[in-house]
Amino acid sequence: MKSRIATIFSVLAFALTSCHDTPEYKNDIKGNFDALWDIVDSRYCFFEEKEIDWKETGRKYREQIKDETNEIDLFFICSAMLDELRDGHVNLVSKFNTSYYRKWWTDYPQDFDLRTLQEHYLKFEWLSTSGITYKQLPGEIAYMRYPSFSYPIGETSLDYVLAILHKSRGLIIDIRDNGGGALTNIKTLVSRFIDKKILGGYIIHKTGPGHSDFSKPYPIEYKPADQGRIKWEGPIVLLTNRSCFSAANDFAAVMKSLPNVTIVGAKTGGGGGLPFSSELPIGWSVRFSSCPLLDAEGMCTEDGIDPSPGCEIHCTPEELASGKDSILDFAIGMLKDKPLPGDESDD
Amino acid sequence: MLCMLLPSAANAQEEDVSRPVTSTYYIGIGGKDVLATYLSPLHYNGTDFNAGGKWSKAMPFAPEKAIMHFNADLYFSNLMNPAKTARMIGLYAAFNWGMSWRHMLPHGICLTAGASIGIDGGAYYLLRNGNNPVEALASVNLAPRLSLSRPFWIGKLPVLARNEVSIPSLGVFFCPEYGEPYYEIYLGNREGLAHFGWWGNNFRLDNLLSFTLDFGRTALSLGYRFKADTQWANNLNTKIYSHAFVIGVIPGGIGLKKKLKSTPSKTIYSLY
Repeated sequence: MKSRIATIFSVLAFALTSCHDTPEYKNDIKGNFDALWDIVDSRYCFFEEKEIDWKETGRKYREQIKDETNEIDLFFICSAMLDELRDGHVNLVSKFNTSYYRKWWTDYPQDFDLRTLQEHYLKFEWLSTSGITYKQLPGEIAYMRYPSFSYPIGETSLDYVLAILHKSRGLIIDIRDNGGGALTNIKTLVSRFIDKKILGGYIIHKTGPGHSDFSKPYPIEYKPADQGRIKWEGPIVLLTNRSCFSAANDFAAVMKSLPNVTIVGAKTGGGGGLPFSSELPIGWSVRFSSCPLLDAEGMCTEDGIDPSPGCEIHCTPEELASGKDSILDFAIGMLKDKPLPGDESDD
Repeated sequence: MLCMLLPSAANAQEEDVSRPVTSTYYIGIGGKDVLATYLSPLHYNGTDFNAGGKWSKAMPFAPEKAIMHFNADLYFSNLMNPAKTARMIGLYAAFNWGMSWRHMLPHGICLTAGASIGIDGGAYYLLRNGNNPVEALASVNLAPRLSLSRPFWIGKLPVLARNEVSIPSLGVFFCPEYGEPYYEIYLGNREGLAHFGWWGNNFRLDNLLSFTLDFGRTALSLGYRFKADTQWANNLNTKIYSHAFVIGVIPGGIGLKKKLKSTPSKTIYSLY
């Protein structure tokens, strides 16, 4: 009797929900390939910006699947197909490898060397808190380096950093080689550089599986830090290179909209799409850009953020090897003649 | 005049009878199948644990007919994907309150029919997902309830066979848009999150078949529970099915022993 009732209710439940079927994929080579293609087809967000013909891409790589194709072969076929998206936020994760599209930074100059910075500019002496390395450089120029947005920034730590650097002509924020992290840390940092609420950008998301199914842009507002917190009101130079990605890219986009901020260095690496995750029957997970982040002017940031006009600077490997950081030198040159806080009245 | 008489009649009736609260405390263990396409296109399977209680009582205005009931349930699920490479954790709570009307049918069969208002919510957390790690579920609903019960004996032990079904039919449920991250909701975008639910987009069913052994001072309930929770909105499909073995205790019994022995009693129990 129990099983009969279970069957009756199962049939009733399935019957009433069967009109909303979801594709089922076999856990074989073709089934996994189809699952991956479908997931990306329905959820990836930059097909139109990058002019990618995903159907043709799928056909091209599906042809490579043969009867003798095994699990490892499948991984590399799928990885190659995902590389066609030209997106550093796309990964296929298996037990034996994680695919990763690297050309967004390997095809560009690095423009940064940590050892050069630490040895020739910081002289191996610096302060560090909440992942932020900071120091006042000669000429009363404040310098802080934030190498990853994965480091949570403590509000009190930030108070100390800005208080210690306060008596400076300008602030250099170095995010070169910052590969991203949590978007919430952007809010914490930006809140110290604004005195009123600003529109920093927009976020949009997919509303359906079609390549053009997007929501209307939702504004991302940034509020100033609470009263009593220490803020920076002077000039800021933000140092970027091609390895600034994802949250670092978004931070650059927001900072660029502030009147007292100049971006110096190289165009950032992009990564202007919030990634989602999904998975294949074989158990591999896949990550892909799903929600485009736009700048304050409503422009897509996936392609990267340009330096301010006249401020694109590169460092050659030879310069870096000889102890010269041209991007940092340029920033120091911009700030060295600025007045110290409290000296403005003398001008 | 009639209105003035009715309360006094009810009061007189109330004074004559005792209407104990029948409390059932139970735990359940079984299997669960979850498809939540916001998180993954794959079905997750695993174990579902449930603990809860239900309380019912005959009402003073019609003690032989009207029953009020309240249920509270807490569920915990530990699920894996088919390849066993990712884990999903579910935590869910449900509460409902309602009224039913009791009708005695031939052959000792008792039919109750009524409705309840429910509120429930929880989340399924896929541990390895980044910006879409959670499928949050929440709803407020109106559910018709129906039960059929009939007593029988096993030797000298009275047993109540009962099947109770509840089908939440109208309500409001939460669902983000197709690719909407919770970060955007955190930023303040609340548009399109609430959906009107009916059988076509939010079919749900909760069925409990139980056998309650009435020992007099206490009763033991053994049962099988099937639950289906499905929702379809914004091209997102959620299907959750569970089957569970349920064991419960009813302190004070359910009054069946006295009733079947035709012991004169002015106590009106709410279960049968």
